[in-house]
Amino acid sequence: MCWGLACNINSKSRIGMFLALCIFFAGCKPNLEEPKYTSGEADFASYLAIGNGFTAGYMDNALTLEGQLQSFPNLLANQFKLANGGPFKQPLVNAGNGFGYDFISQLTSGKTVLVNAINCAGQDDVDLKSLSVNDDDRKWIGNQGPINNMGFFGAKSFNLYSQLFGKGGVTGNPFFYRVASDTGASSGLSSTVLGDAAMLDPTFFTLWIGGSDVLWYALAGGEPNGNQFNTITPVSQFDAAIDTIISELTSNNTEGLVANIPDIEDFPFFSTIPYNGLILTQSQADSLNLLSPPGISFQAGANPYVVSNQGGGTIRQMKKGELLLLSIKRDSLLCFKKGTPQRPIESFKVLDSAEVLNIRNAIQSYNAKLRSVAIAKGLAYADMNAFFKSLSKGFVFNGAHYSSAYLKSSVFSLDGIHPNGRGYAIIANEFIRSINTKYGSNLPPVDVNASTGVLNP
Amino acid sequence: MKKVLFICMILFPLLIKAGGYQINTQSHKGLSMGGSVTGLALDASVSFYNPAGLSALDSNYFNLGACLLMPKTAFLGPYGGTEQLSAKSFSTFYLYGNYILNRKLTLGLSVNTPFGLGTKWEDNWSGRYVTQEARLSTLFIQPTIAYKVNERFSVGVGPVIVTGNTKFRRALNVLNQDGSDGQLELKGAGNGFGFNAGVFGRFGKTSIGVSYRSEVKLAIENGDAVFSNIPISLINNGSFPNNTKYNSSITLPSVISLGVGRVLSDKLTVNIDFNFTGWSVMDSLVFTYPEYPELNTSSARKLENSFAIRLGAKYQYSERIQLRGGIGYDQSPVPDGYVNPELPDADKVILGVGCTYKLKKGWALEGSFAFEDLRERKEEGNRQENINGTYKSYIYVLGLGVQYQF
Repeated sequence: MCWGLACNINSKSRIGMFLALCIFFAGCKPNLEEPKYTSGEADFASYLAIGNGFTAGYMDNALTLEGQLQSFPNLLANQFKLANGGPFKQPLVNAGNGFGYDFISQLTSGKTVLVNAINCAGQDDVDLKSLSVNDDDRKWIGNQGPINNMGFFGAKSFNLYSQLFGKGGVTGNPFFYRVASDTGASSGLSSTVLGDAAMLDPTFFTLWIGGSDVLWYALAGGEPNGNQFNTITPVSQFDAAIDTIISELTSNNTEGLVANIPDIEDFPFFSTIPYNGLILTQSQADSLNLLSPPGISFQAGANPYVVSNQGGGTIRQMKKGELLLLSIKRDSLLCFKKGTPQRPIESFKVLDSAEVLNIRNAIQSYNAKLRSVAIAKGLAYADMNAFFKSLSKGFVFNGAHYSSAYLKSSVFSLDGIHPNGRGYAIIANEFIRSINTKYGSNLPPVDVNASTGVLNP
Repeated sequence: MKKVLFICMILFPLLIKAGGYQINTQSHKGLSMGGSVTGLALDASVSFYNPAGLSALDSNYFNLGACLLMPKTAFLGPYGGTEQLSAKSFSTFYLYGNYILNRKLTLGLSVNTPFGLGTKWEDNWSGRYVTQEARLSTLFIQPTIAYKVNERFSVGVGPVIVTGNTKFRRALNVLNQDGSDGQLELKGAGNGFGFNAGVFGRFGKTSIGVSYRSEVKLAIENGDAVFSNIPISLINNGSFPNNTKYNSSITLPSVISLGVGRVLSDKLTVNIDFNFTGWSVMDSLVFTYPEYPELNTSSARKLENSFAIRLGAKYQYSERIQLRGGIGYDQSPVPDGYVNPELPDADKVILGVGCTYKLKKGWALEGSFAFEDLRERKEEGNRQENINGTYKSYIYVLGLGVQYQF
């Protein structure tokens, strides 16, 4: 139409008008409206995250600032803000190495990083390096008011209402000690995690607890050796703890989410070294067979490692389904005949069939309890056990392939148990899915690839 | 004059750029009529649209033109926040000529860019592991001959020689200690062959054309794969090279067109076109690295054959001015589950307007403007890359050309 009109004017202005019209049109960009986000029946005004190191954003063997900023509760809180969510305060450490406990060296340390190294066989390889701790990060900051992220590395279920948990020194937990409103300096009894959390008047909570109730046993190779801390929390004690915690958290009909516990086989710390990783040639097998006690034999190819039986003295070959800990030195397996009759793997670095079963049974019972309280209280329930299992098949997010293996494109951090930033992001997305389903909210997922993954040297 | 034409023919292939995978800018008459020209013989571009239509031309034509395509795409990821395809305009060109040899035979030449692609996203956008930049440019050269069987029917055929260039760039999910991604850039070139054949018939005021353009497989061999910003540890342990060669192939689909034209009055002619494009040949996009087979990738594309309908009209406004308009509807070959930011495709409506303005001594100027409106497309369950979101695109096309009739 316009063109027809334009053609009636002289030819120069005709071309001009045509171009003007085209430029006018070409300036229009397509627009997409973002949906309006709602919280549904949930109220995110005051969000309380409660749990262990997974809730704290612990990664690479330490509590670090980057880990805290990428913690799943922080990611969730950011999404909650799209639907009237309130502020979210975390007990942030300083930028730097943070502080924690190295599962592999079993010492207090800062975060672990990957470095280039030549291995014992003279090949280019990578190695783990623990960085130093900044002692400032361990100081008490519990006078800064209520904290929204009440996740503390090492916390077991019953610790959440323990009046010893906030004490300094060897009695308490150094991570809760930092933020406890009362560290028990005068009375000898500290404030509790649940008690301090109640100061928030939470309107919504996530509870992910129980992993540490079995993990320390697993990390000790199933041999607590009299250390109460390294035992599995008995199911009756766990059940009672959960009842106490849930009744406290839901006392004002507060809504929230309960997550269950993944199996340990789904963590690289227990799945990276295979039970039958002893690769031999025929002649190596022959020479080992000459020296081996009865019942132990080798052949060319993959052989089960040789391990000590608990209590020492006797040795045996591993069975399928038994697990080896990532804390076994890689070089000793690679070059120094670790796992042969001459140098059996220590029993406390092995989870034998009975120990694996103890752990599995405990987790199954814990999860049954968590599920039943979630249903009874009408809470959202995130089946993280199934979710972590599904990760072992690998998955793709926006073109990036991820696995649950150690290193490479893993969603686990260098400690082999805690997720890395991208792992926490996919956990946040799983929680969001569960919350949306339960409460009718429409929170968007987070962009997994915006967090950090395995950082290679 | 013939010398000038010759020089133009030699030079113009050097100016080629392309985009949009299947591009509708093959002539200004075609563009402005919504692509609806298979049933008509309007100028030398008929060599491309329907080789048999050459026989229906009553004089020799030389057509040369270029178009500027301005695609605008908005992407709304599932985690909120709209991202824009970085504005990347690109140009296409065409060149056609025909020569009436005798009463029975007409020769033609078609040089154009019927397939191409040009998408570029911000380097750090949320889909960077899928694509940061994708480019495909093609050049189709087709000598053509048409034979007039009788006063009603003619047939025509031409071999098609295709040369293409590709460039794909994306981030790799291997992170350095500063958190930065690895990078991969794949650059390659390949050649292919095909043919174009058609039948044209005239029955009084009605004309009918049917044409078939064969598929063309572009084999890309020994392309350059450049890996950059890869952590040293992963180079040292042999997971990644710095540079290596790759092979791939892209099949450009066949197109069957049926057009019916009708002269309604001295001034007004209309045409309706149906196109059927055999996109199902693009089942997957495979890259193989002979020296690093563990890096091989195969991405399912699962394109489906698609259909288009186009209506066009031309109106002789005055002795000098011809006005044209058209509308087309193109079905997208990309099925749900495979919508990819490399080709954020959707069903689209094409509107075109244009004009030919006759100068002296057989010369004419042509101009056209087209607007392509791609329907908003929401991808929720992407099966290949798990990249979900909503896409909305407009494409603006502005073109100018010249025609010489002799």
